[in-house]
Amino acid sequence: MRQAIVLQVNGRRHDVLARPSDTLSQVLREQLLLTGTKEGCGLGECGACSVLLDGRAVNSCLVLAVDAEGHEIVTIEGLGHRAAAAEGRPLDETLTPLQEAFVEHGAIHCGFCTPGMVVTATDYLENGQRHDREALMRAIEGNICRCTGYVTIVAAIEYAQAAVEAGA
Amino acid sequence: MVVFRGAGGGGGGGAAAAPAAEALDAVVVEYEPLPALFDFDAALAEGATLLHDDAPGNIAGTLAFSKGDVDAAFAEPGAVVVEGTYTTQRVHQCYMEPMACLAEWSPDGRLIVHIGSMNTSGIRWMLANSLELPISKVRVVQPNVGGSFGSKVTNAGIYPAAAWLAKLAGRPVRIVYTREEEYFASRPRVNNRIWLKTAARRDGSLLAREVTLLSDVGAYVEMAAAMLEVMSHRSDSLYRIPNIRFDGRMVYTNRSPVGAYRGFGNPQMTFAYEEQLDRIARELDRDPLEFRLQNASRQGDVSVHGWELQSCGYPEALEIVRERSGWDRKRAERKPYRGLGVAGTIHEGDDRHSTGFAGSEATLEITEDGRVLVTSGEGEFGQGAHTTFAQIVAEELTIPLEDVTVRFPDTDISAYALGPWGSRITISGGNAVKFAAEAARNQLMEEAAILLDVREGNIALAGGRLFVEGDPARSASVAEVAHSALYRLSGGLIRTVGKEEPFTSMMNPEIQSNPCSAYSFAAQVAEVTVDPDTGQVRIDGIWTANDCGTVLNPLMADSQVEASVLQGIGFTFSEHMEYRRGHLREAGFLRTGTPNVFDMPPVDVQYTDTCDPYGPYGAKGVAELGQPPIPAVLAGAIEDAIGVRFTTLPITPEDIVRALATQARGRGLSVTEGVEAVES
Repeated sequence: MRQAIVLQVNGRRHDVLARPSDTLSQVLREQLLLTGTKEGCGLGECGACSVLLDGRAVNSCLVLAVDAEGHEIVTIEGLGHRAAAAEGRPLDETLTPLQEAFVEHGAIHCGFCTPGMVVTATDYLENGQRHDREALMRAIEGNICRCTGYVTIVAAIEYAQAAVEAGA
Repeated sequence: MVVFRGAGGGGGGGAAAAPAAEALDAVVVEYEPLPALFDFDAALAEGATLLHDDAPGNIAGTLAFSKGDVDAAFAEPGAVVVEGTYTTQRVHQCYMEPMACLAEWSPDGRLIVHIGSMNTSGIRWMLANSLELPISKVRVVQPNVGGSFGSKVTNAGIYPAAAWLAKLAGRPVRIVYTREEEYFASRPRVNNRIWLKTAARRDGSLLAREVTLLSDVGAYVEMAAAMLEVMSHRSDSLYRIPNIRFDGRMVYTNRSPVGAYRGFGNPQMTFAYEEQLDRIARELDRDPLEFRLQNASRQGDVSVHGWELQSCGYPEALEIVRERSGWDRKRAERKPYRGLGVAGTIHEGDDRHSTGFAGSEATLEITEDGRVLVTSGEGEFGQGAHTTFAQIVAEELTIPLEDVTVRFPDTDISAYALGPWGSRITISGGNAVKFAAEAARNQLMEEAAILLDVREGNIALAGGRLFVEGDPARSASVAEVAHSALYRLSGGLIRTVGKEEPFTSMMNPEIQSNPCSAYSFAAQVAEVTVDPDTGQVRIDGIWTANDCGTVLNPLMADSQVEASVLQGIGFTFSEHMEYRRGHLREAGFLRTGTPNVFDMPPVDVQYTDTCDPYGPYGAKGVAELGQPPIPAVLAGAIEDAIGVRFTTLPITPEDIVRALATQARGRGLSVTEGVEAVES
């Protein structure tokens, strides 16, 4: 049994047929072919599947696709467009400053955790009540990276945070 | 017969994607329970059921050898002799991307398999063999892979399964493990019990070492035999030690077979060896770091097994961590519940496991726009192999890094390759790429001479331009030269092959051999503070000094060491795979103790000033240096803090609280009084 739902993903409307049991991560990857969202465990333990749901990071493997209807979803593929739209720039393939910081700091090895890490850190930068090392670590606590030991990831996020603060 | 959960017929035990899960409901399998053995004590017990008819006593294999005169060394008058038993647990590599593959058959009957692994040549051979196909009918392609840490080089059961199902279905078939399936069906680190005895003279020089080792290899041997070989003797070349005896047994159990994981047995053995060095140092009233320094191997040494250490920065590494950690000062000003530990390791670089070709081959093409395409079968899975290859080409041809593209392995295009394991990629693959780039530079110069009409004098290359020496105005860019080469009469694509072939001998601890092109070393110091009430260990700092020869990419090298250290911390304190009656009790990152960002302590990463004569630009492998010393260095620091040495991994807060209680009782004190006694 599938049902027709409408998902608002990366600023575009998608009509999809989903089973009641389909998770948002499954629909994003298998139907919308937005494979930037990774699924590392399907248990909500690794954060690789993080996407923004109304601006907040969620594990998309724990959200049912049918429940995502009526919400604004942004995946790793849509972060650049979202930033451009917010700043009134033309939509292009530009990376966000946070994504640039990940590249510059070598915070990406195999890259599998990277989309979830970037999405989660985006939420932290935009919505975090406090911006310090402890709060940052608390924010990405649910995102597992096995390749880096987190040092470069923390450095990248702090760099982007400093850039945000300098610009503010 | 299903010999472990996750084998053949047992594979359906996990969750499958929705349509497959529905189909699975229609399949009814009846199992007849047979006696099963879930640990090596049960498997070795008298009268135990035999898991394989051809393996009496459930012994899957043995390895034993002796060098020097071990008995005489242990009997030497005045020798300090220590012994002990050490136990290490199974852990999963926890690469983030689960095992995956996509198999399809082309209309002309070829099998094409995309693998989430990094051993294309080996998997092609395995697929051809198991499906009885000519090898040329199989094409294996490797895209970007989400981590491996060794494991994915071996775990290949899903590839023939997908190929076979694709044949039956007449459709492409994809298999992706769930995280739960990862835990019970893939190939985790082997668990060991190690009995060890070490002797030293009163002057501190190491005399002898004797090891008896058990490996729980699970239902099949697979990689465990090679692992036993490595465990049997790798660490023997870290220190000068003349007498060695090893007796190792692999034991069958009804658990999953085991696979490679960063260090390949090295962390387990280092955990045991380094504890005994601490103990001997204490008995001799010596500083444990100084004691290691006295015995450390040095450049030019030929070890007890015949390993030729053409470069060895281990003594320097010990000096670096001593200096950086403030070792001498901190040891002088002791504080309650704070402790320091030190440990070291030696690791292979490209060790030889076959008598045939054990090198690497790369091809390089320069397109007419001056860009370079590198083809190598040595895969990238996040460790940075392709960045390193691109850097080497950019260096040799003096062109920007962005102008170099490294292809992912594809057996239709790339040459036979052993694949990335054993820290061999920079040394072996890197040299192959370097040789190809050197040949391309020579071709560019010849072509430039034609283009620039130079009959005398030399062509030089700098900043991406070829010019006449002494007359730099006569010059052409790499792109112009490549373009000219391709389109001139009798010209052609600039295309070169680089082939690296090491001068090593087959790894064989029973005789003398020199299996590696280069050997890497590391020393570490850790400082911890133990909370006696909760048993929590806070790691105040870890100082590492790594001898990976010339560091080609500091950013990536640092990160490799940091990640490897964190995996070691997980192995020491939290990671486990707990079985009950053959079933994993817990599967998943959290429940098996995978470290998160809060588990990463401050880690200082330094390098020795070493230049290896064989590796490209003097480089050696770095990826496996961080993890092996960690369990030993942390257990040593804990012992220094509370006076209890843990010889079983993982070391949990409960273990520490319990040990402190026992310690207090031994002194006739309550736990609180014991704590107060230490604090005062």
